[in-house]
Amino acid sequence: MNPQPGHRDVVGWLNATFRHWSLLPAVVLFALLTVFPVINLFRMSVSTIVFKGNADFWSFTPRRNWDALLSDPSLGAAVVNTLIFVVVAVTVEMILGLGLALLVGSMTRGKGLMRTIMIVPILVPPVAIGSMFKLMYNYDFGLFNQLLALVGIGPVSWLGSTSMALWSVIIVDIWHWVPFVFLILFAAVEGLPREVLEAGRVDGANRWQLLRRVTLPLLMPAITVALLFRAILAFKAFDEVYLLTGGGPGTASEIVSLHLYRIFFEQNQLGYGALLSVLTILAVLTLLGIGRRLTSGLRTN
Amino acid sequence: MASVSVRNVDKRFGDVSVLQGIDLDIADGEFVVLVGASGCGKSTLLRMIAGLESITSGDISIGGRRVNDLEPRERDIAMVFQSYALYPHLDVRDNMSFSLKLRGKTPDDIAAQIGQTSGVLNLDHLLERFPRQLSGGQRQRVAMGRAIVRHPQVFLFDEPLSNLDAQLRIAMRTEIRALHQRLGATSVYVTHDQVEAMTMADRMVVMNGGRVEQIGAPLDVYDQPQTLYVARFIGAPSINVVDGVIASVADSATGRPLVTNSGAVIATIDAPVPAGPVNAAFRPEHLEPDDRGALAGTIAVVENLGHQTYVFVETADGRLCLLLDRSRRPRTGDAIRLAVRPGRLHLFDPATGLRLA
Repeated sequence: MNPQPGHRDVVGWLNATFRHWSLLPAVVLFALLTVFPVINLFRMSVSTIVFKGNADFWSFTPRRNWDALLSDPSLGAAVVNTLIFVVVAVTVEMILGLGLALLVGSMTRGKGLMRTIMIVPILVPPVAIGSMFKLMYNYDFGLFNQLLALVGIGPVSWLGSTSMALWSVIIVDIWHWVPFVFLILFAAVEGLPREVLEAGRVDGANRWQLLRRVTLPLLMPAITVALLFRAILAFKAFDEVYLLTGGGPGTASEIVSLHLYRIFFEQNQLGYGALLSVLTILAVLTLLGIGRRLTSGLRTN
Repeated sequence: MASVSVRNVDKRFGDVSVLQGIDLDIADGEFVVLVGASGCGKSTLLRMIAGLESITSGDISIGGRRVNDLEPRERDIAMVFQSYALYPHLDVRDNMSFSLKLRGKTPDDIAAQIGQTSGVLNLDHLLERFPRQLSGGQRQRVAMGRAIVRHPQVFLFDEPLSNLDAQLRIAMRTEIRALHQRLGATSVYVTHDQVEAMTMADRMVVMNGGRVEQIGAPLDVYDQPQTLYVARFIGAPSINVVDGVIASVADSATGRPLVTNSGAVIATIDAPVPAGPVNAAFRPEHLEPDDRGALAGTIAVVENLGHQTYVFVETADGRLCLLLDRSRRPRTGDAIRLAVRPGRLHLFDPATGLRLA
């Protein structure tokens, strides 16, 4: 029995377009889980949402959300603290990570051991890190104050004083993320072309000149990647601050992501929170753009 | 310019001995080629002269100054690497001026140097390019240029041509040689290619297993190989080697017969060589067709190179190679008798590999 021509056409069409259809589940998931929430976030950022009974009521109030943003008393502190946090933590992490990568790279044995040790902080769950450092920072019996007491320096209120809280959090972030920078840069250091470095030595470069004029330029792509990742992740840091200081005392260690959390979940200002989220996303995107511009500039050089 | 002297130098990596008792004197302005199979220690020796490898024992001097404990940058040498090792982040001009900048030369000085060198090496139109935008041959030139602009005491070359295709390799060979004649700089050149060694060297150093087998002018080494290893390593196609015995009693007026394992008498020996087993070696150009020759066989392979023809003959003493005039038109499968040209036989001790006569 011959299949009817129309039937054959349909099968042929399905066959020809099957590879597109097979993408459908992924596209649907992506739309549902990523595209829709982002669109919804933009919609929220110009709305006021009130809950009554079992229903939510949306009203279009872009001005109101902006006013909330401009009159937010602790937003300024959060932005300043975030910038301090990102700049200081990432800078120190980059310098320490690079230094360690170069140091371990020049070791003749024990490289594998060093790499394994450095992975540990990345594996520890953030909550465990938070409680660990909370104990170590404790005013009365914490490890740090005990060590300071040994050399005769009085106890420091690591988390409780406005002058120290942000710095204590930054120290934890550095401890947590130096290994990440190290791992990326160590792989790059191990991949450096040996003969090029030797050519530099023969050409008359001393250690410092070799580092500055040959090694660092060769590592630049990896450095840029590590820097970008760290900067973006640092902007979104939340757990360390939430677990250690909760942004306090006062607004001493308040950062944007924690502030967002408060607006959404403590103050229930969904519209204003969404606006702030959108602005944060834009800030990170700008950073990403600058980074890409920088790396492509390096590549054409 | 300067002389280089290597005195009783050893190199060990842990328990592995790489070089043993190397002695070598390189005169001012000489072009010396270190040649040997891979793993013979030639590159290690070069890197020790450069200061990139430490010296386990012995002394290395450049221009009369002991350099054992000096950093590479303090030795006033330039090196051309196999991978070229150009700085990928710098353009050709900056690659070449790198060492000059480090020495604090003035921009005018540097520009003059670069201009002169790039002219010699035909690099003028490439100065603004980056290494990744260059072909292999161009990179090779830049690497040479980077070495030349410095006017170093000694040039070191570590297999600089082995990444190039055959034709370019031959062209660069001539060019490096011409450059040396022009600059007259002391040069040490490492290669595994015996043709490169033969064609480029003032003197060649044949190395094997971390030792020097023979040092000499290329033709001297070719004509008078001091060991069986050298005889086999130098020359292409390879020298013919047959096993034989020198009889203890003379049975003719000319000397004692040399009998191969198959029973052929290929020569009579009057040199003061002890009777007993020997390795008899002779080059393809010294093996001739001869109707009364002692070696009989059939032609197995004919290689026509145009200006000459190599013929491989299967005999009872193994496959032998001879150089033939193309007018003879040898054909595969033909029977042929061969004789070794008198006085062209090299005899080696089978136990030690050393030359007997």
